[in-house]
Amino acid sequence: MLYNLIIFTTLLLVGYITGTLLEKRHFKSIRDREEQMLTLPTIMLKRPLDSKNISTCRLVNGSVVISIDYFKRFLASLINIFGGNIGAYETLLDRARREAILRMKEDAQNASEIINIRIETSSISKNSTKNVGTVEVLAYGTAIYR
Amino acid sequence: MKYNAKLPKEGINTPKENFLFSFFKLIISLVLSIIVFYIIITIIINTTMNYLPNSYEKKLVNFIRKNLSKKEYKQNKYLQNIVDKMQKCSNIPYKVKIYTEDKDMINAFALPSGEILVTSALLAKMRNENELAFIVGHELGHLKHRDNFKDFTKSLIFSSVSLFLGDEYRQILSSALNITKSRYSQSQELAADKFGVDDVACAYGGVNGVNQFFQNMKKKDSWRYILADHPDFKKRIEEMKRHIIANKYNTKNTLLPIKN
Repeated sequence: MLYNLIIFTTLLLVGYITGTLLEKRHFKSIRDREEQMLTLPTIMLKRPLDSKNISTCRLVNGSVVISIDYFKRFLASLINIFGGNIGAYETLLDRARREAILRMKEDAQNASEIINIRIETSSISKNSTKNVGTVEVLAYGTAIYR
Repeated sequence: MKYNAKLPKEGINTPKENFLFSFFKLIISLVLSIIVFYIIITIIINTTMNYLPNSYEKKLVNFIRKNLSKKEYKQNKYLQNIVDKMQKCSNIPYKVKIYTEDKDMINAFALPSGEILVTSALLAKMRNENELAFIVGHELGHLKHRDNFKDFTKSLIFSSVSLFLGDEYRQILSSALNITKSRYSQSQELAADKFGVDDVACAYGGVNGVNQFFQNMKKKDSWRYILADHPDFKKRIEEMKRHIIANKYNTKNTLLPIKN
């Protein structure tokens, strides 16, 4: 029993340390890239801001799959018992959404704008017996080239 | 229409909470909930078991013996005679049976089936019949106080609960239960000790041997395993001595040799 408890505590500790570090690093990278790509207009309107002079348009997309660390997964399951806001999953989804949009923007290099953006979220570990806590976010839209 | 480029605002979709703080807060709440649950269950079970009529106790023992008893244990006539002799003073509504098991671990148990199990290693350590009688008396005490049913019902409830839990929660549940259980078992063990002494005094006309048994326990570390559920070893001995003095038990009766 003690042996199992040690493994469990180690997994929690490793999950907390690596998970926090990776999350911090990911958020930093997201912020940096968001700043770099700020000039590319990304809107949810169905029509472009200026309908004139469009040469081409194409579908662009960015998808990302992120897994939650052991510590946050366990924390989320604890909140499942008592109820409340699962903050641990909120940071995961925020990272995933922003990363997916950034990847979509990277796909639309030299475009003048991306319109009709849609974001979809799905859990890819929904039916697994072990609750893995992995999320996929897909962002897609139409890139307009002038 | 003009496009207004702006960076997303931070802290709107992400929480400001400290996850580590939340974790400890929830873990403590969970452990406390388990402890409270255990205490409530224990109170309910203990009250129910204490008021259980003797006829039902007999039926319950027969039912468990029929369905759950292990058949590989050996019977021992000499030990059974001791149990029968001791049982005359203990007023247990069913016939208690004793079995031995070949094992290196020194131990004795009161089984849910109203049977006593002693290991061969324990028998080898006994220096006289009076010491052996005390062990038997202690286990009879557990049966008399229906600790066998109480513990059995509790473990049934908690094993059923843990079936629905994930691996991690099983760890937390068993750790929390261990903390609480030791407190309860300690009082159960002390009560069983006192019963054992009373029983030995009644069946053997004195408690000679019991005192030496405790001295022996003190000397040898290997005895501690019997005390696995009761960490406060010294307290147990002191309580026993006090009980013997308070009841003015004869401590100079003859020590009987062990018959093989």
